[in-house]
Amino acid sequence: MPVPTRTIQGKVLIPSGAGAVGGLLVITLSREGKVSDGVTNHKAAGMVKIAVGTDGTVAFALIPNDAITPAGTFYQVAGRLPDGFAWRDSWDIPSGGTPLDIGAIPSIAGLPIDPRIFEVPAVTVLPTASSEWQGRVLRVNPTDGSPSYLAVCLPNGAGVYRWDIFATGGG
Amino acid sequence: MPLETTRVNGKVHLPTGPAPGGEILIRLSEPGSVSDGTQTHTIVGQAVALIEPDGSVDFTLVPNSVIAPAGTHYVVEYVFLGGTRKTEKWNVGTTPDPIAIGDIPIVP
Repeated sequence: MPVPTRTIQGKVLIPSGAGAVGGLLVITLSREGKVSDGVTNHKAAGMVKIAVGTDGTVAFALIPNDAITPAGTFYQVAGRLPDGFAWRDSWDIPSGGTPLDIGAIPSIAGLPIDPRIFEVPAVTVLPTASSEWQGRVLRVNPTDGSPSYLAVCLPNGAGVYRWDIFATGGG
Repeated sequence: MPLETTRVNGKVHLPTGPAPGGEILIRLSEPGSVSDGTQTHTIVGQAVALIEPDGSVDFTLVPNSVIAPAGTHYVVEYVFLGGTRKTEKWNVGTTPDPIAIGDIPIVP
């Protein structure tokens, strides 16, 4: 039996109603867990990167959080558009036999979501990743002339914090 | 079914006359979602509307009244050529459509 997944569909739009073309979603499981295919327990961990298609369409699959043990996981979502706009969200994906619209995903209230981008000029090394930086998005402008980049601090499946660089150049 | 949008047109005026061109940066007050009758989509980011050299504008927005959660508004920043900036908040409805930019209800 396959590991259960739920298809996420729909569009990522900007306020004009146009698609957020060129956008990127970085989706990370809040902590490592297990998921069963009915026979074997598999490890659920890590991160997926989803590119927003032309006209804003996205279509991808995630393991429902209620199929992951121990209970209580969620997905941390960091999004970024080509113009530099970044946002964060936290998703709780329920099991279900039908695709789930991206605009109808239950968002977890109360988790720290910081939509700001913190400018970090004139450094070449990111600060040490830690819970202090969780959810923060930094735009780093290296002093050596290499392209600027965005990095978000997230815990990996084992609860160890790291910086995920998810966009370079641009705004 | 097509996504519902409201067209915004008209002219942007400064106290000295028509705005000399620029752009309007428009973003939702918080992430929202909107249905096209078939699927529910998410709305993020910002729209950039051009202010023509004669001050005219013509662009569309998803009306706040069809966005969930209820109570969103648009945070609007005018960036005029020359660097002058002005901010305000809009509450865009489904009617009238089109709406003149000067008639958009301002959120205090």
